[in-house]
Amino acid sequence: MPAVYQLPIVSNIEVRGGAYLLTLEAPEIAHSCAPGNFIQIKINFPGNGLWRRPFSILDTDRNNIRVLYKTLGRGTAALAEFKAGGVLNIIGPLGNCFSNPDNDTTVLLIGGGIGIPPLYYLTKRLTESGFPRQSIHFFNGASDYDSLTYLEETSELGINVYAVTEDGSMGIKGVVTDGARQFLSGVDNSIDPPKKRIFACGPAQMLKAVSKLAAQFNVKGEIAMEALMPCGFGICMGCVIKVADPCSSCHYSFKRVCQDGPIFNASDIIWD
Amino acid sequence: MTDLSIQIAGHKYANPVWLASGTCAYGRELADYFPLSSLGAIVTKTITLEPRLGHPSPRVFETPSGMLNAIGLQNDGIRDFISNKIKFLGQHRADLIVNIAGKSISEYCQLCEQLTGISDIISAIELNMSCPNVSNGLEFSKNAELAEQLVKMARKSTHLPLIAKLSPNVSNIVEIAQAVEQGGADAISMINTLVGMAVDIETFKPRLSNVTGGLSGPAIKPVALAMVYRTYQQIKIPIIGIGGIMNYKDAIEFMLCGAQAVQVGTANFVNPMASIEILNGMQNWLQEKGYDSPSEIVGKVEA
Repeated sequence: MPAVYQLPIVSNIEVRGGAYLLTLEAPEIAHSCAPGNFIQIKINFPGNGLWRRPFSILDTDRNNIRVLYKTLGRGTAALAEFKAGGVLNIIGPLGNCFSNPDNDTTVLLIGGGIGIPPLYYLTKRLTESGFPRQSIHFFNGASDYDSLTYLEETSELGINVYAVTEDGSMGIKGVVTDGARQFLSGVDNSIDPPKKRIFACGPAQMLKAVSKLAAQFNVKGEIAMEALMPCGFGICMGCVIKVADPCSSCHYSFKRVCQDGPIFNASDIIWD
Repeated sequence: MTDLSIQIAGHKYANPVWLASGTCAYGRELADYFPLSSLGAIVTKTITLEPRLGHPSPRVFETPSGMLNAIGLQNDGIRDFISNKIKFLGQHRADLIVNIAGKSISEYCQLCEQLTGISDIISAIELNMSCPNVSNGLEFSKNAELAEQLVKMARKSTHLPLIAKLSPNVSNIVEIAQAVEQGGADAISMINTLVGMAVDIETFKPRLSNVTGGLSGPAIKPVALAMVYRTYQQIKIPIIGIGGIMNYKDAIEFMLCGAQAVQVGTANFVNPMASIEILNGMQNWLQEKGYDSPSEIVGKVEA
């Protein structure tokens, strides 16, 4: 059950890829959240921003939750200024979560830019629950080597990690879906499509390409969507995306990213 | 102990802090955060005769001290409301006000008739005469004669108390208020959002798919206060104040300007507990000042 909390900041430090790692003491959330869930943080900054800002949960330990973010706007720039010992007002855990693949599934995680956190969290949970590490393939994409986020930490989970950079400064050259496409069309033709699963998070254009990829290879995909969210818990109807809906007279409806998502089946999303 | 209860159109509400239409959906999500019955009333998101998909994204944009929205009255229609959504609200014993909108007077009347069938769990009907984001949404709120006619016909369709929700996007809101009073409205709620716009200077595109939207939040509070104040001088039916109420001080300001009750809107998005905090703050303030009832401060601004 989500609730409003005043959470102590354990640390808020700059890490690789120009990202920041925020650790909050939040035992209630740490015990109840799942990969894909997010929190809404109230960041007070000059200019009187009204809304909270949503952040995917990166992972948890006994008492803490962590989020990984980049300073892309005024809100996140202000968040980076908060120091250990401070307090943040947050709501969480919010949203739905990824489904759990069966142990004999080949899992592809496709993350671009700052879309890594929910995928890292899912990977960590899978490996902790005994899911075979060699069956997990994590594609981490960015424009260049310096912008890759949480790359080493993901590798430390003992899974297959593929860096994909647009300028070729590390790993596969291209966009992250190119890496995933090579993989899907290569090594594992012997595996039945139902035994493959894609989980993705990143910029909208990338996710659209992932949806195409999933359809092309007949693989079930789950996508973590992002949106501007005035509330984050389903009351404002502001953060909707177009989703296939057989019950609707025009075969689609608008679903809330915050409450009906943020995780959607790739095949349900209608990309305009 | 201050008794916070108030009477509007013969109905006793537990207190004057309500949730505004379109900012609390149908109560289900906020019930995770507090008992809905703690509040004076919950006003549902607008319900129409037929389901509406609403506008595509982007539907919202953050602006200085406020936000723009153009949701487009997304809802599943009156039949779904009566057969599905009402059950939950009934169980939570929240005083329920159902907000409705029609494309014509006849549609408003049909909605009123259908809601009369479940009048045992509804405290009042709020007529949304003022949605700025659907075509013709504002017509009934702009033209005094049409406004009066609408309320008159709705009055004939139901015995339930009628609250007319007015738009600020008019040259003289007092004239519209007087017209709906004449038409038989039991109360007025004001104000709905102000028509606004924002543009992305990189893409030259409007920030909303609907191009314009409704401005809400603290940015509109001074406008709302002035309108409530001016209207209060000219009508006899109660006013429910709406517009950028973020804390109990804002709510007290509205009451001093003439509002019997207030509706909390945009604040719910930022803090799901906002309405409860406003209620507690108001209770303490009234208590400290020695008032026995919130009614004692209504319209008491010394202007």
